[in-house]
Amino acid sequence: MINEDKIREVCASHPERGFKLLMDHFQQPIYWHIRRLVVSHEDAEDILQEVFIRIFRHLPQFREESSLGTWIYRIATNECLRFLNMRKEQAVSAEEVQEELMNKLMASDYVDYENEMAVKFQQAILMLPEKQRIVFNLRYYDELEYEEISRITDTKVDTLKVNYHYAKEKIKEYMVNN
Amino acid sequence: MEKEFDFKNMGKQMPYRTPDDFFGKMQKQVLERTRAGRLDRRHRVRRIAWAALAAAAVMLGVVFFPTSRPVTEELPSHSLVVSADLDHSYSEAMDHYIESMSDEELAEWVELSENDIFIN
Repeated sequence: MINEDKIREVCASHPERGFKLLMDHFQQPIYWHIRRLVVSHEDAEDILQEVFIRIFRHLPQFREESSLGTWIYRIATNECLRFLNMRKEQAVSAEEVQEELMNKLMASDYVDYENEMAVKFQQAILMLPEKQRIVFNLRYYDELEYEEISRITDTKVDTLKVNYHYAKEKIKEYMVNN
Repeated sequence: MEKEFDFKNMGKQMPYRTPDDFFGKMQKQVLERTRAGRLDRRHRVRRIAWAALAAAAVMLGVVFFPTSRPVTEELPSHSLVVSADLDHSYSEAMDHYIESMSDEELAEWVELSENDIFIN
């Protein structure tokens, strides 16, 4: 499997080939990260495209203060938050945004409703407050270290650990009682 | 006794799906957009370079054609005179220079031009 150093090296010498390598490596995990946050495939598709265009434009300025992966996850997370906040700016409350996401989960062409447990699990995740949801997804699905999540979300490691713990407890409770 | 939920049984399964060949098509679209963006930036830099050249030509015209001189015949505008006299090889050299610029340099030029009230 190709590593980040190799991707950066190729990006510097052959930008287009390097960027293709970068997309091969990160496209899928980043799409799933976005999808879990915005739920709708169509929204995730638009955001994913914007994220990679942004990465392409700013790659020469990437300063290696973090890993390439952390930087990309940070851009993707910020883009998702920008998308979700846009709804809030339109005078829609956080609860209503949460309800919209839940509706999108329950009425999509790209959800396998036969897998009832998995649908219910996503519902449980969508019930979480935004920050807990991000932390839970990054830790549970992407298996990122707390230090990495800390750099992505600008949150202290201890706070993240508490958030993750509460998120798991709430999900457990939802899965048992619904 | 209350039943327990075990995360291990759930694993990483998700109900989400994507259309067929979604990732292949997405990669193609993004690469096309980046290519188009690069071409667009080169065109903009070329335009900026020509605008700067025309401005310099007008300035030279002001210096070499004093305003007190009586106008006996109708002259074409200074920038046109200079444009017409431009050596073709200069244009090629400029194109070559722009082609050799990195994306970062092009981005800097474009950014600079966006804040330049004389060019915009």
